Amino acid sequence: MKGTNLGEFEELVLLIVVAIPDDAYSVSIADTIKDKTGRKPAHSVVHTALYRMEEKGFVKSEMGEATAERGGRRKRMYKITAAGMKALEVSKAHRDTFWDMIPATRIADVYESK
Amino acid sequence: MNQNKPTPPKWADRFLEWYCGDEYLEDLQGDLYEHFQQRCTKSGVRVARLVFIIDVIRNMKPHLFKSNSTRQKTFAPMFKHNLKAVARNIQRNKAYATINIFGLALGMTGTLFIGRFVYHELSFEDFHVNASNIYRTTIAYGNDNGFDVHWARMDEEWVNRLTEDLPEIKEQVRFQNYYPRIINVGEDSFKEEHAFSVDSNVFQVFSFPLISGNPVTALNQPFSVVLTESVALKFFGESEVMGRQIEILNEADSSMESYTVTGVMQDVPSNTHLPINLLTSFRNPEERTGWAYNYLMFHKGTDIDAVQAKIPSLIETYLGEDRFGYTEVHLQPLADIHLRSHLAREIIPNGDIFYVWIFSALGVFIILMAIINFTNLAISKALERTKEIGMRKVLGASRGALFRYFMAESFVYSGLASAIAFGLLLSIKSAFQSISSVAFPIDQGLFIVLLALTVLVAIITGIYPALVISGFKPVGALRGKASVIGNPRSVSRQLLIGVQFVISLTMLSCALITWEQFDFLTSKKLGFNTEQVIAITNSPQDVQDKYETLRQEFQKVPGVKAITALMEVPSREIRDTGGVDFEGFTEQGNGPVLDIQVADTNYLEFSDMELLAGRNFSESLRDQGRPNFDEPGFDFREYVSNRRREYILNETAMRQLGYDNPEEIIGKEFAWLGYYQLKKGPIVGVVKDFHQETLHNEVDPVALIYEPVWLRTFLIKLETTELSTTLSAIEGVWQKMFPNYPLESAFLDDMFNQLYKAEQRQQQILTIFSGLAMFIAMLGIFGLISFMIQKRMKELAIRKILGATSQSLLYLFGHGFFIQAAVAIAIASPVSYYFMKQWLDNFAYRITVGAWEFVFAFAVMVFVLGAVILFKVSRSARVNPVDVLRWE
Repeated sequence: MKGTNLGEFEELVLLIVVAIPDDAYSVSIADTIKDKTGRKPAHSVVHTALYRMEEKGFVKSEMGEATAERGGRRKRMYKITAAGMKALEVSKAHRDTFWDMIPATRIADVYESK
Repeated sequence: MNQNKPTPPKWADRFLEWYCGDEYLEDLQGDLYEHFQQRCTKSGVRVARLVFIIDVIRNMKPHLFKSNSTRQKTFAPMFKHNLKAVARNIQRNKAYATINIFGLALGMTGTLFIGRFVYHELSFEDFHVNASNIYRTTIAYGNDNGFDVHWARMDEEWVNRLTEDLPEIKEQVRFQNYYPRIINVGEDSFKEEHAFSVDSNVFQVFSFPLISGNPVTALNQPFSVVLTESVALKFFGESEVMGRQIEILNEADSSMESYTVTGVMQDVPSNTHLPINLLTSFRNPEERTGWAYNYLMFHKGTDIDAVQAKIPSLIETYLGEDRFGYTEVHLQPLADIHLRSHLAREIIPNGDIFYVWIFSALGVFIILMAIINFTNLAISKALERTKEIGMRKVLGASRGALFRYFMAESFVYSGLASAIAFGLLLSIKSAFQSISSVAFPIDQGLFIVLLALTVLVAIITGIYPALVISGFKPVGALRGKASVIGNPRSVSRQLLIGVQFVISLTMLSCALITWEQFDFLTSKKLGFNTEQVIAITNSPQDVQDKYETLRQEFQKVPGVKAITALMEVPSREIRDTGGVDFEGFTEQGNGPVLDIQVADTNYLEFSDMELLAGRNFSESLRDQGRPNFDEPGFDFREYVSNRRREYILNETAMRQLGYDNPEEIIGKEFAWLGYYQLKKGPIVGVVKDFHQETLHNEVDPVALIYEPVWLRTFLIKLETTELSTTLSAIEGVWQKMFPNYPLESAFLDDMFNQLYKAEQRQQQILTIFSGLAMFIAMLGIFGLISFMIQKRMKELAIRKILGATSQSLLYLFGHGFFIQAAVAIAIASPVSYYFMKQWLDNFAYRITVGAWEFVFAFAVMVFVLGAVILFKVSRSARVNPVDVLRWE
């Protein structure tokens, strides 16, 4: 198995998978990213991120329903796995640790020193 | 889906389906469709389609590929296996592989060379951007008495007015001064051919790129000159020569005039009929008259037929009703000049589309023969491999797999052959260049062609055996009963061998005929002596004026036998023709048209020409001396028409004047009326016909006169001994008298042989390729016989035990081939007779094709065939029969 760390973009996608539990597939995820962050990931980027995370065991997929605008093709719906949840938590914990080390005054200093 | 709904591009969708594995295809395709629909409503169909394509391409990630398909799983190992099997096969059958590969390599080499030659011939003038709009004006004169000439250049004052009369014309360019020009650069003196005077718009019409200088203005001042790079290097030793001075001889007054270099152009490629060395501007308007090659560039989209239709009425306005019978001016497309025109007075000799076809056919035949060999041998070989093939089938090889296996084999052979062909190309490239005078660059194009040829040959050679062999029935194959297919008597294979025989016999007999004709051309008596004679041609006016002094000086040189002078050097066509004033023929146009040749009074003895009646020129003609051009009021026309004349005719001229007996015409009064009207004088002699030009042409009617002013070619006859000393002594005399002019001399027989260069080339190429064809055919026969004998080794052994002789064995194995050769010669003879008849029609004097050429070709074939078979049979016959029969 490849490395099990979580890339920045992967983390974003994974969070969305958790956030929209019943509608997580590549198109909706891409749309969400666009709506909430303004980033415009190409479809293939999202698709690849999901594939990689499935390889790492962070998500699992199953085929969902088909719609007319998809030409009758079914969606591949993604759900987070326990390992994925764990990875998210680890990632968040790491960040929190470091955030906690940063006093509010130092942040203000950065802005002022400019 | 709804009909009106926009759809993504079909091909991109199909591409996606092609590369994407089934596992991911459905959702991915769905995603992309969905995305596409969103895009459609937001940004429009066009953008959406574009984005779809981009998405399809960006999704090409390895993890989505059809990694699990059988195709991908088995392709690489099978490919490897096939290669290995082929390699082993080659190792096991070295002789077979060598014959095949070498035959193919030879065929490819031949085809590549011919392809290069044909390509070069077809590419003439294609580098001119405006080629399709440029036309050359050519002129035809004729009259009712059969006078009929068509010239590439013209001397018509009114062509300069065409630009006003025909609004369709965009530009006009004249190329004149086609004689070699004498040029001094500092101390050095050069004689340059193809040094034209041209209009300043030449670079806008023709695509001759300048390295330095402005193409628009380079030649718009008088006394400007543009040199090609190599001429610049020759003159100055460098190509940065802008602004430098050269001196060019003005033929009219023998003065040297200074020209400034205003441009350096790239060397002209070899595929043009304008092999320019240097171009000068016109020094004055008068220079822009007289004989010139005249080019017109029309506006794009001009209807040339319509323009051509206007010309006759223009000629009538300019020239009046009839001047010289008829005059026609034709517009000749630039691209047609090299291959499709056969005009007199071209700048360089033309090619011929007929030969392009012939050579293309040669190229195709050569490679075809190599391919036939391969096919034949591969099928014979299959006999030995029936067990292998049966086994493969039993083990589950599909027909497709076997097909691929055999195709792989032919690809390997073809690849190896092309590698060898490439080596051959490199090693005989320079020989090719010297025979064809076409460069053979090793460039990207060559590799592409080589690659294409490799693939093509692989497919053609492989497909038939692959289809036949892969179709074996496994059980029959294992029991060794596939012999029906490998039967050397099968119709299709006999046909293949027959085709090879026909091709090689045709080529062989054609080569024999060209060889014979060439020999005939070069050995036929011309009617005068050309041996040990050097000719000094293209002398400047200055030298011509001093002929008498030069004659005396040369006479003093030890080793010089005799000297004479002429107007036109033998081997070059006579350019001046005219009507006659003789017994009722007075008007120009109603009598025969005679060439005029001017000769010194001793010319007849000098060249051993045979007088049929009468006598030579009288020496008293000389006593009139040279005219004084500087005398005030001197009129050249008046001078030539008042001089006392004596005429000597050739037989043809005599007959055209209505006489058959030379004695009867002697003493009759005659005058030649050409551009100049000569004075009436007696016909003093009739000489036997002689060939002024090549034997392509009939002997023209010629009148000989003596006129010192027009003697411009000097002929010197030399002793056979101490040739080089004599030549350098002559050179020394010349240098002392004319230090400014280089001496241009050549042996007369060389000059004649030069005229047959084209024939010589055709003959060489045909000889080489007929030899090659024969060799390839024999290579194939050799291989086939080997297999036949191998198959029938036991039979051979038993026959030997029972007392068969070598002859009877030869007959046993060879008679089939001999019958085929006999049938082939029956087909080849009429074919080559037909083509050679066309070729020979180019010559006024030609051999008659008899039966012996074909008999001889057949004999050669039978001899070689017999030798090949005998060699094989006798070698096998020497094997101890026991060794063969022991194993069962």
